[in-house]
Amino acid sequence: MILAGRAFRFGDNVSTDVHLSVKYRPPNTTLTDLTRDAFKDIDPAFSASVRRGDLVVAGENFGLVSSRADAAVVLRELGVSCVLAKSFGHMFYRNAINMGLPVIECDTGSISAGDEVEVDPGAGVAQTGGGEIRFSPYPPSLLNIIAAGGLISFLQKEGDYPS
Amino acid sequence: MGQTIVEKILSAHSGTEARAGDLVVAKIDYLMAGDAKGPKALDIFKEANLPFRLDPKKTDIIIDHFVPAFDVRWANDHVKLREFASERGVNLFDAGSGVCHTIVTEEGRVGPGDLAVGGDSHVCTYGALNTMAVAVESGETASVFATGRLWFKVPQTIRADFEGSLPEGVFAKDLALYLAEEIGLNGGNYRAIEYGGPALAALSVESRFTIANMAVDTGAKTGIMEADSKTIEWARAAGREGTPVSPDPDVAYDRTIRLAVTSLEPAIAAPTPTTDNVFPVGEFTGLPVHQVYVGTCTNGRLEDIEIAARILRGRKIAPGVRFYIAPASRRVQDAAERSGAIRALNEAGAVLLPPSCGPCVSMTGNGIVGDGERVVSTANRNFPGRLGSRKAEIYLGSPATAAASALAGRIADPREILAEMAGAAQ
Ligand code: SF4
Repeated sequence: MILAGRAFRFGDNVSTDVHLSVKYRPPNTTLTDLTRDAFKDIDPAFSASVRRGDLVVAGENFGLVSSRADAAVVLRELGVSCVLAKSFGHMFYRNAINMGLPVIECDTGSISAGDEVEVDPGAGVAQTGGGEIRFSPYPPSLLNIIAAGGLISFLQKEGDYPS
Repeated sequence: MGQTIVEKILSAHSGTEARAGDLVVAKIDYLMAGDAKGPKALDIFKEANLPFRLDPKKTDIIIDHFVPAFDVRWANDHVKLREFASERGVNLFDAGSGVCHTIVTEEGRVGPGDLAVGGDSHVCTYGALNTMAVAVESGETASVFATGRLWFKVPQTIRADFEGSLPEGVFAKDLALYLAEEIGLNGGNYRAIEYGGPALAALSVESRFTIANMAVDTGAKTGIMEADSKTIEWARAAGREGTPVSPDPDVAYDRTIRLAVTSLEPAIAAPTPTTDNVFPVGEFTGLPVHQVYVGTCTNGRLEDIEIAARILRGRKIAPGVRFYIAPASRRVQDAAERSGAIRALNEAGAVLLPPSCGPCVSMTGNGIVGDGERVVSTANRNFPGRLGSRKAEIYLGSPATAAASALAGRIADPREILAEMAGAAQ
């Protein structure tokens, strides 16, 4: 699995409130509303300019605080192929993989907005304009979850984790 | 280099040498499904049409949040949970059995060295029994029904040692609050907390549950303690042996914290957006209080009800205060009735609620507070609006601090009444 695209750059401590931009969202908010407004607080042009395959690159604690799975779903809906960050909020990290969105913990300091980035999660390496970044590779079982589009789809297809 | 407790547990359950940062797939020994997130998990499981392959003896359905059900929505969720339990041959703890985490630990559903998951933030409570317990989302619960396994990112570990010995009037809850303050709301993010030290060893297992319970309130994935003779005795009495797991001596911890407890004062967590806003109670004594609550998975055990009863026996709570008590399980209620604690509290003016979550969070539908009201609660969280009005203030403290505050009608330092009692006894 190779993921390649342009980098959208965010800073540290981007909470899931920012992902969804509507802190106390009214009951009838749809996924389309959430997706359109995603990250509006820190990058108003984000949802309009992000293209299928593009990557989000952030600093520490990306997706901090809440357990709202929608925070990962909006990124997937917008076609984001992968999120690279120095660290993640633990619930966001789990939700992202379970929703089929690869998330990679690595040193993102050298990546700038607009850089072309190519990531190989199975090999544990990201190629950027500035060089190569290494991270601990995804084991095959988790790559299969991502490839299937999430945990439940994976189990529907494969029945179980490889033994 | 050596392994931490959670690295060892995840190694044993995944058949790999698990190190912090690795992604592993591990066998699950126990799954807890409650009435808050369980119904959604059942929906996902049914809709995905997955087979039920988990050993039904390794899971329980527990109804504890919406007790008694106060809305058709919850009543229907309960119907769904009961049907699922009987279809699958899964044990059900129905309304009134108690708070899920207390039941799980009392009934020997988990033991030393186990790997448990559950659909509730505070499953980390089981860490006091040397169990690694992690909160999961509804989709993950559905996946464990189907496979008996789950993937994990092996957490790094923070080591927290409690040094010295606890002074009079200071309890496990105070330690949990001070440690939450020290680690900070997100300081524990994706990490495990490994607790130790002589002051922890001196605590009862009941008190240790209070500390492990609040691991998640630092953002940690889990909290865990080594098993000593008290743990093993507790587990054995509950019908479990387990395989105790200790850390290796040469472990590289992510961070090491030493908390000197001998000079601590009773703690209070002030109402801000975070739980890590902790002060000595003296900073707030004198503020009028409208509602007091002793209960929850943090502090609803026998010891907690006993200390409240000791403070209130033969006295009356202040006029204008509502004092709610919810034993954390039927067993706790029974023991507190037999010891006379419930009677003493009743005579003092407390209101006994059924064994359940009670007024811990507004979703449980009872003990909601209004604008401008002030609460002292033994729960683990005090975000604005957690008990209804965002214009109410929730302070968190130990059961002793809560009972002393109910007696005074104001936030009070429990050491004053405890000293008065000691004086009278002489
Ligand atoms: S007592 Fe409170 S914190 Fe514990 S499980 Fe119930 S609602 Fe959650």
